[in-house]
Amino acid sequence: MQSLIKNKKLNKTQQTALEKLETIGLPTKKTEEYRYFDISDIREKEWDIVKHSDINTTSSKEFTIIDGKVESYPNDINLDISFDEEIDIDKNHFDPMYYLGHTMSEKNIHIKFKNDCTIVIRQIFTAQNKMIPYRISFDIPNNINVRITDLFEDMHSQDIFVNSGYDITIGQNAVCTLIQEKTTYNNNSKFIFSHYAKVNDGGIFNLHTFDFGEGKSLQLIKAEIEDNAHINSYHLLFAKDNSNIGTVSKIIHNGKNSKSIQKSKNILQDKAKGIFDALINIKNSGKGSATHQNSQAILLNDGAMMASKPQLEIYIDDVEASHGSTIGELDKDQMFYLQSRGISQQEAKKLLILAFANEMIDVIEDKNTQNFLHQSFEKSYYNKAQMECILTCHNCEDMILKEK
Amino acid sequence: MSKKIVLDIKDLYASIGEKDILKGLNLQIEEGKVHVIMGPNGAGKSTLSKTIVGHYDTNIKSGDILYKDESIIDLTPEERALRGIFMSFQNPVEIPGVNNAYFLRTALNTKRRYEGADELNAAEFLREVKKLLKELGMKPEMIQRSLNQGFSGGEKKRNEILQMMVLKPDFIILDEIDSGLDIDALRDVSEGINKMKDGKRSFLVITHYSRILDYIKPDIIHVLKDGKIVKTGDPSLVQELEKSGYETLEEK
Repeated sequence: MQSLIKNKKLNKTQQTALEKLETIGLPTKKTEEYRYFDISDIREKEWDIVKHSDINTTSSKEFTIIDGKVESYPNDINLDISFDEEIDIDKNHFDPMYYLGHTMSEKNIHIKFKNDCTIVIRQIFTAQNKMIPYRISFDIPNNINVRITDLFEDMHSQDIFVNSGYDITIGQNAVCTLIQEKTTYNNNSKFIFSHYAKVNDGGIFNLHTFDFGEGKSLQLIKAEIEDNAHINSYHLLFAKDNSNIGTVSKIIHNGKNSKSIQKSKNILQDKAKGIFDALINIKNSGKGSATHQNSQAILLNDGAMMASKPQLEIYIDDVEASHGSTIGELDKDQMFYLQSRGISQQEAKKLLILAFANEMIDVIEDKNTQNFLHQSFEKSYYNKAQMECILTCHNCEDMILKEK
Repeated sequence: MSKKIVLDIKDLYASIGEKDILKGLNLQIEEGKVHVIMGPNGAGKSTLSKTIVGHYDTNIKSGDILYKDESIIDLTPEERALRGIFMSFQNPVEIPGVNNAYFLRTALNTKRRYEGADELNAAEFLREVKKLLKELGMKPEMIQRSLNQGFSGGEKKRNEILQMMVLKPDFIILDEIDSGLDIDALRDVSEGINKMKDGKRSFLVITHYSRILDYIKPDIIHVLKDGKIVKTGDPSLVQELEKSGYETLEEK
């Protein structure tokens, strides 16, 4: 990997990122943030960078990004899309891979929202045996309300290393709801998403991440929140086989009366290892702030593992704070209740797992997105390519119960 | 004609944790009859019902429970349920995220599969349940909510009766079905139970109070005290107990 960086011709952003990377160095086994995520196979491999075709970008309803290149995007008057060589990056990110991503990305995909709107981004991976570095930035000006649904497909790729992430600026009193669904099918692919979000005064950042499936995937999030700003960060993980998937985050309360809620639910099956290593820091400028952090994990069998490390670092007295972490099995009384109605132990377990996951999906306000996420989860959980009728869809109930 | 016994409990000793609760209990439930168990707090009434349905808390030390002439003490709770045993819980557990309709359809279709019948699809099932909801005075949206989540005490009990009416079990244990019910709910719940009486189905009603017995006419009354049945009699025993309490009872 080192040789990739050496021979590169760099623009100003890449130069800044490289200088930071050289200062802190690539992560090793001893790097705290990568303690539960072995990065040696990524480090040691001599990666080829993916090459993109010269096909021109076209217009479509949704954004489509294939192997890190925008193939199509909406011709929407509410959006300003550019491919910039130089952008401002965070100068103090905890994650070296944030800087590696910026160093290796030729152009940054920049999306500026001009009015309230909703966009869908499909990130599709088709490459074989390649490194795919690219970065996306979102600029949400003051008082604008946006919803971004970001969906991943890796069915046709093999042995890839994706190094990506977002730089998000949320203006004063603006709202950004980012829903990211990553269902991964390849257990030999590696994903590192390193994000930075700045939430200005009165802004709200609702982040919902859904990681289902296999492989190695880590999201590293740094978020800074200013006066009266909020972040609501929800993470649902279902990992199986030998996968190693999780979240490492640092939420920093810079401003007074800022609020953070972080909730993580994790379901680990087979020999999967889950990670929730999350720090919330309230600085002494964060008077009157509130934070609530919670992580719950269910281990479905021996051999599954969860590294859960919720942490609070508070430098001021006048705050409201709570955090907790539980790792366990399913509730015995709930299991018994279902079994006492003739439902087998195996089926009862499935129902309770769905219930555990549904709580994170049902907080999404948009019904179509909710249904899509239910379907994604159930497909991954039941290991089915398609499901005609998902268990959590209640459309026929509505219809039949309203019949006269 | 000799009476047919559905449930036969023989010299049952059972504990919860280290504590011995049932101490040589004998009880026979007749087909088509409504049996009532009354008794003071701590007598073992709830332990008895838990032991019959195979609750994980209970531990049988000796004795046997025969259901339709076969021992059930080694069966899982779901096998007991599929054979026709149903218990209405005193405090039904809330299960957020499990849709009430989906749960009930899963339970019904599991039973139908067990009995060799065709499964019902969502539409067939919901049309069937809609009628029952009306009979029980339940709002249709109750079936669309998470199982028991945020239900009032009365709604939870009605939901238990709804399950009973859908699953049509042969032997029904009603564990303090009357606790926490107002008059209207008690009447609706009792009507649901009475509709299930068909001369073949048997009931074991566990209660502290005689109030529900004004609605569900019992056939046989048992008094449970200190882990044993100490007295069995006809419904007039209820008045006797109301008058003089459990203290004065002598062993039968």
